[in-house]
Amino acid sequence: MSGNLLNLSYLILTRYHPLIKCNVALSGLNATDDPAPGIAFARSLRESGEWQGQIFGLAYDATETGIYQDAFFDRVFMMPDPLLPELFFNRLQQICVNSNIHVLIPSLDYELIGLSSLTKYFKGIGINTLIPSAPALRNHLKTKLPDFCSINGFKSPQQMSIVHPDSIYSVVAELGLPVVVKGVIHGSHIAYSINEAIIYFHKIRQRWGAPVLLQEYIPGEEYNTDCLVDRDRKVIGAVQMKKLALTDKGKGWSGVTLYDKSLMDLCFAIIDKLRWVGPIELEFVKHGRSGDYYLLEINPRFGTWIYLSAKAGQNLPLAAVRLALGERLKPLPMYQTGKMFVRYSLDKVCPLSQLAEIMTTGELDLSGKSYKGIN
Amino acid sequence: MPVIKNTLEIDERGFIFDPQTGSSFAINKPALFIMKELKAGLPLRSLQEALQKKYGIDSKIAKMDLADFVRQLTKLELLNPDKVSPLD
Amino acid sequence: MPEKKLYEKPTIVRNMQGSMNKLAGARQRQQCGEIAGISVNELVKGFGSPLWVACEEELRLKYKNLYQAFSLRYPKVTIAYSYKTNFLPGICALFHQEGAWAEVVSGFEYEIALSLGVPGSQIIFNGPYKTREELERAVKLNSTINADSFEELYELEEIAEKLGRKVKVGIRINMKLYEANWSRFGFSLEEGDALRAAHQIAQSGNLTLSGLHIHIGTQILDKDIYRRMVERLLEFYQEITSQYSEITIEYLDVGGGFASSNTLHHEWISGEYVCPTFEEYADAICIPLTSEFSKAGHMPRLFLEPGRALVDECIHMIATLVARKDLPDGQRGLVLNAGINLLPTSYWYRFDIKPAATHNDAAGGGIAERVHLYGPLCMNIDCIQENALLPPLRAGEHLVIRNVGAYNYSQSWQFIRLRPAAVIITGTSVEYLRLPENTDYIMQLNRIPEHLAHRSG
Repeated sequence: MSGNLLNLSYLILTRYHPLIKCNVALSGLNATDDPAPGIAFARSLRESGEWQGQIFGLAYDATETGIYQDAFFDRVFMMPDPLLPELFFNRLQQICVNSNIHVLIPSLDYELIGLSSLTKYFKGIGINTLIPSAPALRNHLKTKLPDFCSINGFKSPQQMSIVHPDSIYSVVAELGLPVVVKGVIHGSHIAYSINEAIIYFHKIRQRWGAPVLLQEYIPGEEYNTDCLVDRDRKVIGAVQMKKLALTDKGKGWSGVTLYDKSLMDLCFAIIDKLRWVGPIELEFVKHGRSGDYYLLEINPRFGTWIYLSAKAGQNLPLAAVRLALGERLKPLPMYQTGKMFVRYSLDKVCPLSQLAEIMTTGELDLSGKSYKGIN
Repeated sequence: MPVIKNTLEIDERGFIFDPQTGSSFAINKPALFIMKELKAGLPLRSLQEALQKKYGIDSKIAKMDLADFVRQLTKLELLNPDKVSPLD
Repeated sequence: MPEKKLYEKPTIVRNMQGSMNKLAGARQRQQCGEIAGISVNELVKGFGSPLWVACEEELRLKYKNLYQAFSLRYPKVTIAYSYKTNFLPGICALFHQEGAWAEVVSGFEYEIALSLGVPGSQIIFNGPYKTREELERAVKLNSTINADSFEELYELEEIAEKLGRKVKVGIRINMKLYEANWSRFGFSLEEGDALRAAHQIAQSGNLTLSGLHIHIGTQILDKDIYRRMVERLLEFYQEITSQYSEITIEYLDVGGGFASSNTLHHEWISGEYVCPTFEEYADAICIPLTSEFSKAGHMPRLFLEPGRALVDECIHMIATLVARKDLPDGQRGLVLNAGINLLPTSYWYRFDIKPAATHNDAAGGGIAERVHLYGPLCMNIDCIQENALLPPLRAGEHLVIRNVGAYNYSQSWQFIRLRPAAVIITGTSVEYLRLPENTDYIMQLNRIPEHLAHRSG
């Protein structure tokens, strides 16, 4: 019943926002079966009806699938390693000579680490951002999660960081099986045996480096909350989603919006303790027996399903752009529960000359192609 | 017949596509110069001189670099299979 | 006038997922044409290649920064430079000029310190193996001795008895703090051996427990490990001082292990970003110390034993490309004149390696080549770095392997090749720290028994 009331309030409270005009640069273009959120962000802006401007994609490899999506990006630029802020900043400056970037939204976890040191310089070249402070970011790190939770009284799975595969034996003796093997930046697998854990350990260390984290497996369903926090650390919007279907990589391939007050209160408390600013995603598992929410992961960006938030009534990407521009926003009206997303794959066909262009010049001009949208 | 495969597509910006294998390649400016000359039919023997003239480099460097570049082309299977060994 | 084209080696690379970004590796392709203002070509001309190059100004600055970070947070701080990190006497002497004590782990290192004029009372003698003679000398010269085993305590008791005086001794403690295992050094806290050692010293009429020593590892990137270590060390301190009222702990020696900005192979994020600052380490160590001792009358001295954090980033190696190899699997290799014989830490680190000459950058039509960097040894394991992204290089070009001051010179060895010179740059002058080795130097200790001296046939 409260859901109905909330839905009603959504209708009443929907307000008119003036159109914003700005160019937005986004990263996280690789929408594979383990997607980055860049395209979902771009799509939320494109379909908001409250934004006008160009969207620039920032990419790290010419094979990132979003590069060739003229429906979402006007231009795409190759970027140097974001962990080398000086080079990254110089590149942005170079891009700004011909293409004004008004708002920069980094959408990859590891970018934030390097870019948080640059926030004070962005303003100087006319780029607005909404990036959490370096200390807040440090707390979000997966290695720090158990400490953060135990200090602040939040439930989280037991976790150990290891560098050597030999340590798996003693850790599994403590955490039991199955066990979740996670990368310090990205990557997560459920291992049902020690041998499987060893295989995943090597796989993750190869791709994401060490330490590798072993996390206690909490049986239950997965709930994500994506939130947007303004510079005064006030939550402007928050949307909850339960995963309905997972891929074999454990990525949500379908999900539905819901509203659980206890989970929302928990999210607000966590955000407060993190002293967070900007987009954030909190991933939980609801324990099958106790019903307690365990915090699995904190992502310093929106989730890949963020387009659902826009369609459910809280366009968090649009609000993030508004906040970055310095607008002050009232908390967004309640979203609709029961909105479902179902993800599907689609092949894009394009000439090889586009690959040649981005490979050789480091940028690709997709403008002139009208936005048709895909629904 | 040129020394390199005549089907190779050379993009002025430094990109080569081999439609026979589907592979693409990145090349730097001096390599682009060489590829275009080869595609135009310049024999390997004249290439060293052309390279020296274009960039004002000495003959030892031109010879060493060119030999290495042709070796790269051979290994990437970009040379014309109909031609006898380009090293002759 | 036609623009002058910058020539570089013509190169073609196959496009492959994961290496399709012309801006990737841009950092490595930045030129490193000079070290502390002196051109690499000039250094090679004057001193040869390969060459160790130390930067005096940077070394002094590192020391000052480290000392300042700690002394601002805790009033009684002494830094003892860890000789094993790089025992080039010129480097050790530089730190002694700055006020450092010597931290040595063998009689050999002890003698280097003495030869540099370091008084015995400013030498900290650590390590799992100290001979009777070495210990006796250290006792006589009033060095700080941190005992590593019960055997060593018995040895020290005998020495004290022989000399007829009380001998002060510290004990090395180990504790389980994180995954890496340093438990074979000193006395285990968890097993109760640390307490047993304290008890043995208290029972002995000849020994006095004067300090607690710990060293938790190396390249420790998580400063919180230090905080946890100090907290547990203080618990132990409380335990023994309340149990043995006659004990006065004069010092807490927390060792070293502070990281340099080098990147470990298994670290995905560049070392520069994960390496804590001296201030962060100092906070982790000094905050629990000050909260413990600000209320007490007695305040033990804090010893630090840094090595890597002082020297790693201040010494570089120049090497020269000698050959290019196309490997059967399509990959490319470069052979350098410096290998793991001179750079053994390449086993742990992904070095920052840059060309000395200017090359076309990505914007100027240049491309990067993915190469494996091999050393000159006739041995398969001699690889300094795999998958380095470098501009196209040809034989004769110099490379600078940056930040190799720690554990490379001191662990280098004469396998197949002799070791090159080391120089130090001070302002605009360059001077030898060590001459290049020659065959006579190596052969002088060899003896050929008479019956082996004649060639048959």
